[in-house]
Order: sequence, then structure tokens, then C-alpha cells
Amino acid sequence: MKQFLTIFKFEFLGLVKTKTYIVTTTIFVLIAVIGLSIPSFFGEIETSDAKDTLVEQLTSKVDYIVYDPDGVLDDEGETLKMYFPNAKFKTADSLDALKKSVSDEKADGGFYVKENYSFTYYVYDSSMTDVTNTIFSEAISQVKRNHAFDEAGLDANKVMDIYYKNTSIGKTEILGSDGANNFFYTIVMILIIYMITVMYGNVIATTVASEKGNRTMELLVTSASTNALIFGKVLATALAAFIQVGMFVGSTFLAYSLNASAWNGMLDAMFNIPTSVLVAFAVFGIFGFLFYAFIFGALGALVSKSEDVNSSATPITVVFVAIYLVVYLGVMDPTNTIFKIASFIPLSSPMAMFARMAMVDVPIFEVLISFGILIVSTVLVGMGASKIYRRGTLMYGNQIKLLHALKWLKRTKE
Amino acid sequence: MKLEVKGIRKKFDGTEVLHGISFDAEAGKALGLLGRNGAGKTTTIRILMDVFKATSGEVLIDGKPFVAKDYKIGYMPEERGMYPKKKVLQQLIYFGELRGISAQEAKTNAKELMKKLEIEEYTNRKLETLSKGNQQKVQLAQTLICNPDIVILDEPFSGLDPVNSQILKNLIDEQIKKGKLVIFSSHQMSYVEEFCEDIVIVNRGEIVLKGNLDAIQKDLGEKKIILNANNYTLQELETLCIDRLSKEVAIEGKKKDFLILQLLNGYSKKDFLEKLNSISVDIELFGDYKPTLTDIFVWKTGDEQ
Repeated sequence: MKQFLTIFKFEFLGLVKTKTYIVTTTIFVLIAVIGLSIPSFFGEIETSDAKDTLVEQLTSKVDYIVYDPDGVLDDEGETLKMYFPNAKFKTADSLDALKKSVSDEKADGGFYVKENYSFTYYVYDSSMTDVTNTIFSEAISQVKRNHAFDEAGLDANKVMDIYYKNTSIGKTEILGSDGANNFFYTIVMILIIYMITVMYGNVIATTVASEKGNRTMELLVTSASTNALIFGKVLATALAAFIQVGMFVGSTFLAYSLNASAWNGMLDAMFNIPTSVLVAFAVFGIFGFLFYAFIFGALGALVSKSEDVNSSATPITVVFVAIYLVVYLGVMDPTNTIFKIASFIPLSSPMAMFARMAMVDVPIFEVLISFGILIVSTVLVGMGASKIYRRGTLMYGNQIKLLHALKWLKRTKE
Repeated sequence: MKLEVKGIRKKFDGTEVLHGISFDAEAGKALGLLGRNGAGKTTTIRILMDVFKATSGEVLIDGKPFVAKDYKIGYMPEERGMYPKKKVLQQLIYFGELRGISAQEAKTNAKELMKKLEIEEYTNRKLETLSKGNQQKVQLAQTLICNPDIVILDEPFSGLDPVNSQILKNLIDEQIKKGKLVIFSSHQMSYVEEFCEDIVIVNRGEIVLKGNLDAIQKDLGEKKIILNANNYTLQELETLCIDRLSKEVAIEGKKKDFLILQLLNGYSKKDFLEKLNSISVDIELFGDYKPTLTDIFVWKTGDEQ
């Protein structure tokens, strides 16, 4: 135990005293604090809901050009104005004239309206948020309805008046998890686990490989037990990583709470994370990190130089990226069976279980079973990593393949 | 304290590299573990240090199984290595703590050793900024940091100039005088002769010679004489021995200034001297031959060359 504490302290202080660690932690904290304080410096964010934002987007002053050879839109100026209140509509003599006007950016967009009420929307550069086509589709549908009312001898204005005055608004009462609301912070938390595991996993592998490369390893393995060495190294790195994440997350929460009024509650959904999800994120994150950190430690022992760490760590990094994608897609469709299975497999449960908890209601026994599997797996991986580390540390020369190293786990005497 | 290595065998991937190594080492004495490159010295040392497990055989200390972690051992491996980017004192304290002493004691010991090794001004320097010789001294300081009972040194003098070698010699000598059990591996035979009472020569994974160095030298020098003459060149003297003195002596070797001869057929030195006089050899040099350790080493390990 004394050796473990000595190694833990040496590795921890060695890591947190480096300029890289201090600078990156400071940058993370500054980004969080400055980013969330911007509204306080430059004036508070105006309160607006999603509907207002959409209307704002759709009613900004724009110029459109229309080519309507069959006169579908004749006498429908009011209808267009209802859907595009701030837009100016000009008419084009031909489709080519319409296209030229759009290409020359004299018009923000153009519509070629056909006799059967179908239309083509022309735009020079289309943005991801451009919903003009949808709105125009609504407008042209209304035009079609107006014509149908006229043909049926009905007063279109009266019909629409009845239509709009007789609506009902329902509300949703969520008994489980609010997936739509929780989506954003879940993705951020998954990303945190992903980044911290890959980043610090590589730090561990590189440290081990460096100790082999500079031949410190023989002194270490003759001075301390390999269990103390790998557990001390992994746990020290884990603590350094958690402090960094903790400072980032903590400063983010603190900065938002101090600037909440300036944000007008705009990011409340992002920060109102249920305690159960936060706890699951912490415990699954910690054990998941340790699970992968032991693997990275063993992989570092399979190469002779720190430059070779990347090639050694590639297989597990690829697996981890694949798991990240599975979890990401699972968050989009949280009832997916693959996502549920992933929340029990120790390779993926560190990201998948808390994400499932954030998106849907997960029975507590499932959480406990997944956590139990993760703990047992982490201990087994730690013991296996210690064996591989013990054997790999004094083997120099060509990189040892992971499959070959796994055979060492079966042998006891060497 | 007595360390006994009994019939150690070691296989790597089915190939046996040590074929039953046995020797003893005692406290207050230095044992020289010698052998050509790849002979099995480092593997033997690594088995003592519990880096590798022996395939068979045992290591005992005072008659009980030897478990390295239960003893304070100062180990200087052949592959030198400490943290290049860490400060010297910081890592000496670290290695001291790993070997079971307190940080304070490690600090005190480190400073004392650094002073003896004349590197005290490098306390707060990163190891990589030191010269190779001074890095070597830091290695010796880490070896002795825990005031070990057993000191195992694998090629401690490689890369050192004569002045630094002398400083190192003094420190190793101090350990022997303090009654530590010292095992010493080196290719520099003069140092081994200077420190070691006992030697073990390993060749191709087997012990080819072991015992007290003086006794070995006496034994191997028995009935051997050295000879040179004023009225013959060495080449002429060699021809003379082969042509006219083959019943009395056999040529064992030839050095720059003399021949090494083995007395045959019960001839004594006195008989041979009279014989030389009778054939008018004007003797320049005549006496007992005491082989150097280098001679012994080459005889025992160099036969394949």
C-alpha cells in the first residue's frame, strides 16, 4: 500500500505540475467562464421562445422573384403577405430571367409556380436553416384551398376565420425522462467521457512506453510490485483527469449560475441535469475511465518507444470510436435494443447507461446490474493489464501484438 | 548473510539459456560475476531480482528461500535508466521511498551520496542535462539510496573516466567494508580483481569456473613459469622449447615480454633452471606465473573464437 501511495503521489504530482496540464485546465476554465459571461458584458439575451425565433427568421426582409405563367398567384397577394409579411415579391417574365436574378443575387430566392400548384424553389446558396420552401409550400397550399373554396361557393375568408378561431392547445406531461430536453447535455457528457478517456488513455500508454524507452522500467519493476505500479499510475492519471473535468464542469455551472439572469434562462435545460443522471455520469465515467486506462497502460507496455504508442493503441481507439457512434445514435433513438444492450457491456456502458438514463426511464435494477458488471470487469481488466504490463515491460524490440499478449494471461510462470 | 544460487535453469520460449547455475555469495565480500556478452549474467541477476522466475532451481538466503522484495537491495541494472526529465534529487527520493525508506531519510541519504560522488551541485537539475558520467553516478546513488544489505551492480564502470571510476571504486569498497553482500558484474577485469574475493565465470549459460580468485590464480599458475632470455628472441626461445625442451615444458602462452611454460613430467623449477644453464640460455626473466583474471577469462570463455 505504501508503494502504491508513493507511486500515486509521484505520478499525480508529475502530471498536474506539467505546463501542459496547467495551461489546458486554465484554458478550459476560461472558456467556460468567459463564454458564459458574454451576455453580462454585452447585454442580456432577449427572452424569446422557439416560435418567435422561427417567425423572426421567416419574416426578415427579403426579396423574392416569382415566375407564374399560369397566374396561379393572381389576386393572392394577401395570402403571400400572411406567410411572408416582410417579403417583396417581384415577377419574372421567364424562368431564365428568374434564374438570372437569383444567380446575380438580385433576389434572395425565386419560385417557379406551375398550373397544378406545384412549384420549384430556386436559391443561390442554401443554408441548413432555410425553411423558405416549407413556408412557401404552406402558402401555395392555402392558395389552392382558397381556389377550392371559391369553386364550392364558399367564402374563403369566413372558412379560414372559423378554422383559426377553433383550435385547442394540449400540453405534454412527462412521467419518465424528457428526451428532447435532455438531448443536448447528454451529448456533451458523452463527449466529455470520450475525450477524457482517449486523451488520458494515451497519456498513460505514452508514460509506460517512455519508461520502457528510457530504461527506467527495470528499476521500477525491481523496486515496486507491478500491481502498485500500474494501479498507482492509472489512478493518479484518473484523479488528474477528474480534477480537470471537475474544474471545467464546476466552473461552467458556477459561471452560468452567476450569469443566469443575463441568459434569461436560455440554457436552463442544459444545466438542469437530474441528480440521478449526474451521479450515473460520475460513477460510470470514473469506472469506465479506469477500465480503458488499464487497457491503455497494458498497450503502452507492448511497445518499446513512445512513438509506437499510436499504432499499439489504434485497435482499442477504433473500438472506442465505434462505441461512441453507437451511443450517439442510441441517444437519437433511446428505445433501440442495441443501445440497451450497449448499456450493459462494460466497453460501452460507461457512456451508454447514463445516456439511457437521461433519455428514457431506466429501472434501478438495470443500472445496478450494469454497474456491477462494469466494476467486476474493471477489476479483471486491471489484473490482466498488470500481468501484461509485467511481461511486456522488459521485452524490447518489435511491437508485441495484443493477441499474443493476451496469451500471457493464461500462463502463470515466467 | 549468505546467498546460495542452486541449479538455476531458465527457458525463454522453449530455449534454455541458463543450464543449472550454482554459486554462493557472502556478506562482506564481493562476488565477481563474469562472462562474455550473452553468457547469461544479466538473466541470472534478473532472476535474483525477481524480474524473471527461474524455470527450475532455487535461490536461498541463510538457508531460506530468497524473496527479493523482503530485502533492501541496491540494484544497478546493465540497462541504465531513470527519468530524464525529472530533477535528480526528486527521483532519488522517489526510488528511496519505493525501496521502503521515508522521504526524509531518502533525502538525507541522497544528499550524502551525491556529496561523496561529487555531484551535489546537480540536485535540482534534470537528469538529461547531466553528462553521461554524472548520470552514471546518479545511478549509483539510486542504487545505494536505501542503505541496502545486498548490492548488485551490473557493469558499474562502463562509460566512466579514470577519475570518476576511482570515486565509484571508493564507494563500492566502502560497501564491502560495511559488510554488504556485493555482486559485481563487469568486463573490466582490473576492477574485478581489485574488489572481488570470489569469482564466477559464466559461459553460454553454464558456470565454467568459480571460487576464490587467489586460489584460482594459484591453482591455474601451478607448475607454470615465465621465461625470457638475453641471448634469444622470444621467437627463438619458443623454437628452442619446442625442439629441445619438449620433455621438460610445454608452451602455454606468449606475452609481449615472456613465454608462459608448463612444467612437465615432474620437472621442478630448479631442475628446469639447471637444464637451461646446461644449454647456455642466458636467463633474463624466470619465475612463477600468476595468471591475470583476463588470462583466466580468455582461457575459459574465449575458446570458440
